Amino acid sequence: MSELRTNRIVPRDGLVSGTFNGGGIIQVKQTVKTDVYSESLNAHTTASADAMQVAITPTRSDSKILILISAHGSSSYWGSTCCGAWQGFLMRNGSILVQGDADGSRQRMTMRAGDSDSTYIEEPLNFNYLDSPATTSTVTYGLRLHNSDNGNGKVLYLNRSPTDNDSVTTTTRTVSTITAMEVSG
Amino acid sequence: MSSELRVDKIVPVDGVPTGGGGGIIQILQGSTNNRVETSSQSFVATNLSATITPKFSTSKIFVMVSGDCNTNADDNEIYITIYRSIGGASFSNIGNSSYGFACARSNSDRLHSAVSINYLDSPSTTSSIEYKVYVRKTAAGSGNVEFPVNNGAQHSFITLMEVSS
Repeated sequence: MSELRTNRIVPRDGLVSGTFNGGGIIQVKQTVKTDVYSESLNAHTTASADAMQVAITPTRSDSKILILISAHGSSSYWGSTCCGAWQGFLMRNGSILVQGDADGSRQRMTMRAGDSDSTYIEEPLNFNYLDSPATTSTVTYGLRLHNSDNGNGKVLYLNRSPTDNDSVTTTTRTVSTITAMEVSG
Repeated sequence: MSSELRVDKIVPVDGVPTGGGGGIIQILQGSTNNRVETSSQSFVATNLSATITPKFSTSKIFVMVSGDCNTNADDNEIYITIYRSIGGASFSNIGNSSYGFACARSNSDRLHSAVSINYLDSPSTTSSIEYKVYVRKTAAGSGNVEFPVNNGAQHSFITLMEVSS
């Protein structure tokens, strides 16, 4: 059996220059969340904690980290007046890592699924991002949910339907994952 | 001539992280735009699958599913999961037996939704493993649910990566 022990894999001619280029993958970490996360939020506020996290310790400070988010959940907006959506931020060590450009008073977000003015929608939040944390310390990446609704007390859920009666017909328990891959930089 | 490194396992110098894996040894991908339509409340096979043979029984398989699905009617709900067959044996659900990994639903009109599942599996075998996407409908609503959305048009994909461990 052959085994390569290394902390860096790059093409023979080196990496193509640029922020979002990397070489081979050195290590993989994943968090599989099967239980329910929920938080009640006031209008236009962000949750106080990450709904799920993955921690990875880069072997080199020039490594990049590829983050893959596959999240399933819902909001309690359905049937309300305006303008609920199932959306969130990609966080790194508790701070927003990347979001859309500022444009007036529009809400800057990392990812957003279906809008639901009056309709109950469940669909996934997906996001992939190649980060350059420039550290060999442990880095924690997370998904943090945000209430875009005008009303207070709106609940955002991970792995749950907005209605939760005990019925296999109308309610769900799903699985969400967040994966971190160390990519040679 | 380009350089080529042939190796069966890639791990960080200080070892594989607890609960995780090392480098990626091989990648395979399957795709389909051959739609399955079902009203079944039990999981049924779609046409999306891929097969991988791990080099080591300790390897993990990172399974990535991306594509789209259609709830197809008011109040319909579709559940999506992954089954695997090891060495040609019968398929078994590696997600929740009722709910699978993912769902999509709208209580008003049909919903065309993205599908994304990323799962790091530990099959503990060196036999060939076929991973296949299954879907089902719940009792709510009417008619069929569909995977993928458009027959003969956009493809959905399943990607398998062997991760050293």
